[in-house]
Amino acid sequence: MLNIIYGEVEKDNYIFDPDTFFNHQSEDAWLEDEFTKEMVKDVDQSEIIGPHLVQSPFLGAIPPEKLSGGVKTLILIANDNEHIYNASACGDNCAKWLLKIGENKDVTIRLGYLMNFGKGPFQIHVVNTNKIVNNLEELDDEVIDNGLLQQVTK
Amino acid sequence: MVDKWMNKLWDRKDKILVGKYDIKIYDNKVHYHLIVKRNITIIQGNSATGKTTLIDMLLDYSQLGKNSGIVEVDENVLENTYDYADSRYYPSWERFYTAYLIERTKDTVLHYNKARINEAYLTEGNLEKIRAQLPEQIEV
Repeated sequence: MLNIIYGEVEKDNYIFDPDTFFNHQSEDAWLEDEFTKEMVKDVDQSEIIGPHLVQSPFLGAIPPEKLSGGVKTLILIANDNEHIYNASACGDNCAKWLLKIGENKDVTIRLGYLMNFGKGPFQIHVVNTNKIVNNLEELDDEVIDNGLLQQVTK
Repeated sequence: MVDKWMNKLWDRKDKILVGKYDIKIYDNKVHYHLIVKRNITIIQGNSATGKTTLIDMLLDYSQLGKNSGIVEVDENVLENTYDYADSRYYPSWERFYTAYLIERTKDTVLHYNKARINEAYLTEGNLEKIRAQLPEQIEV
């Protein structure tokens, strides 16, 4: 299931800047994975040729370090279970992939804004209040009514 | 965290952009045209829409200027053309603008050629700008 911590996170395994973290910690195998290739194709409209080469329709041939911050974060979340990643580096077009990752495993991310997860139905566990919500309206109400974006989780 | 950022911004308030600015930034791969209206600008949007690329280009340009390979358009040339269009070299402002455009867009995706219009200019947005300049009697 997808677990979301809203607001600020102060934990040792929290990664505030996944874009930079990816540049220094990504593994070749992650970029050869079919699920990664699907995400990159959908979000960046780019094709992974190999672990060190991506073909972008806008930028030409680029290294993986030039992928978008959003898709880098998705790749980290999908492949690394040791860290909590700041998914505010992802735009709304990453939401469906976060839900898909959450269908395959238990994963915890941080959000600092109201991401649009679509109409649903879906299941998201809001860590701050320990509540499971089933659609976007329930999720947004949970976050706004409890002032979660201003909370600090330690 | 937000408070810390706001304090930093406040310390730099004299250097923050105020008013309305028409900004064009491009290299040989991407081209941005922004109109910034507020004193603080927040760039947000879907992933892979070029936010980081824009910031990286601004950083490169602020560090290296023209040597970065990034082109800025000087609005001062448009507003004070008489200071630039030396009549010893340009018999008309049109000739000056043509030469200026060719020079500034050389080796970029927007390279200008008077004999044949570069397709990069043939956008709906540019057509709209031309339409807006035409007298009411002319319909396109």
